Amino acid sequence: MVLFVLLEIIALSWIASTHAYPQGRITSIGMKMSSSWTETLGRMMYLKDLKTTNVNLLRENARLRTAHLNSQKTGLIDTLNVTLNQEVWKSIPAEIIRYSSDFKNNILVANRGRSSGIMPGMGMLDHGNIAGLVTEVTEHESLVLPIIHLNTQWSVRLGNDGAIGRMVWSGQGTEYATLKDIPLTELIIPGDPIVTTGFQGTFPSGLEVGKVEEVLVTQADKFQSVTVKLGANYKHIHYVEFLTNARSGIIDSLITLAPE
Amino acid sequence: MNAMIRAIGLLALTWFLQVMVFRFGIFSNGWLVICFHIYGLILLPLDLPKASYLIIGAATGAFLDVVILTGGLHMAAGTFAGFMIPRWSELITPRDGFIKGHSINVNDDGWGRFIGLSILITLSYMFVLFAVEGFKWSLIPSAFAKALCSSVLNVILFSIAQGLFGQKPKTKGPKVSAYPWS
Repeated sequence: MVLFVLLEIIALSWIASTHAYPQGRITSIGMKMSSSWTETLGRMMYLKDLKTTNVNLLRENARLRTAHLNSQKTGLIDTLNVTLNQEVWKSIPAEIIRYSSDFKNNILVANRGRSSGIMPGMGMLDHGNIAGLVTEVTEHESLVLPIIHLNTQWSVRLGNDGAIGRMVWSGQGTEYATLKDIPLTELIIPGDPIVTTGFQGTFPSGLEVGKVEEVLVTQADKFQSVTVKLGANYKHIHYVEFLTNARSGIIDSLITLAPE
Repeated sequence: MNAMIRAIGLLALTWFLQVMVFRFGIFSNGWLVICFHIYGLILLPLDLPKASYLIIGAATGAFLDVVILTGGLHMAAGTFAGFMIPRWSELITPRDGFIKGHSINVNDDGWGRFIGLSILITLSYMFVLFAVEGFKWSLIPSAFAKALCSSVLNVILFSIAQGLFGQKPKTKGPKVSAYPWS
């Protein structure tokens, strides 16, 4: 009985220490151990997703081509160049080699790590939609906390100039999350875009998170909740991008200089 | 001793299969989860000291947690299953008891005992896995429902494995025919 209690305490402490997200040396060892064989198996599994990926790539190409043509037609090419020169965000492509999307606390492992410039705190996109946040890195792998994790909260905005709220995942299905703390005065229509605020420095502002699916109003408080249909498709997630901000270090140093 | 070595070998094999193949066996939004390594725990000899089941269950779960990054979930479940194995096996023990080093198998014990013990051990494991994973009292009923669904799936899988690879009945009588011309 004593041994049983002792072993359960060890296991539960382990769970408690990693309940927010898996971290630390044991996690790094596990990532290294699992990545090699999982990569091989994962490649076989993802072959069936090639068709969807190709379609997405074609759409992306078409969108870029259209944007390029439009900028030439309207004579905005100089403005575009200036914007690009000032752009401090850099994208690093990667591939998801391990994922879980059927548990309460899901995780993703990507095949890029410290050697590719991935650092904890960087954001991850799935086809232009925000998908997760890097929490741990090894030399060649990175551990990502997706939106579909019970212990994460995301600061998002309703449309480009709407109210700011807190987005959490309720654990019900991988397609939806809940946006909370939106004042009752805010007019919300299903289909409205939900975008990033950019306040945390992980993502630039205005990146798509998802769309409003349903508005939930209760008379109990002065806030309304919104069911958000996520843009990231966790059931078919494969090719992703990591975002890094070259100026985040400078911005962080400014924040630390701020008076208490 | 031979039975113990065989059982540990089987446990290692089922653990390896779980890591390599069955880790991807998660269906219906997590309601059906395959944990094939439980089959290795079920096939442990039934006369081991109680502490052995605890240590083996905990170690099997802990190794799995390290490899598939589940952070102690399987260790908690394995420990509880290890705690319950001696209690569940007492329930199915025949009046005369089992012979030394006996592991449950369909050939000697019949499908009833095999499935009964399998479902009890698997349910114990799965219930703790889902309950601890949810980490909320309100999720306990759904954890039990999930555990029940997953246990049925796993026991079907164990029964297929038992039918295909379990102990075969020993051939009776001499191998040499009394009628060599026949």
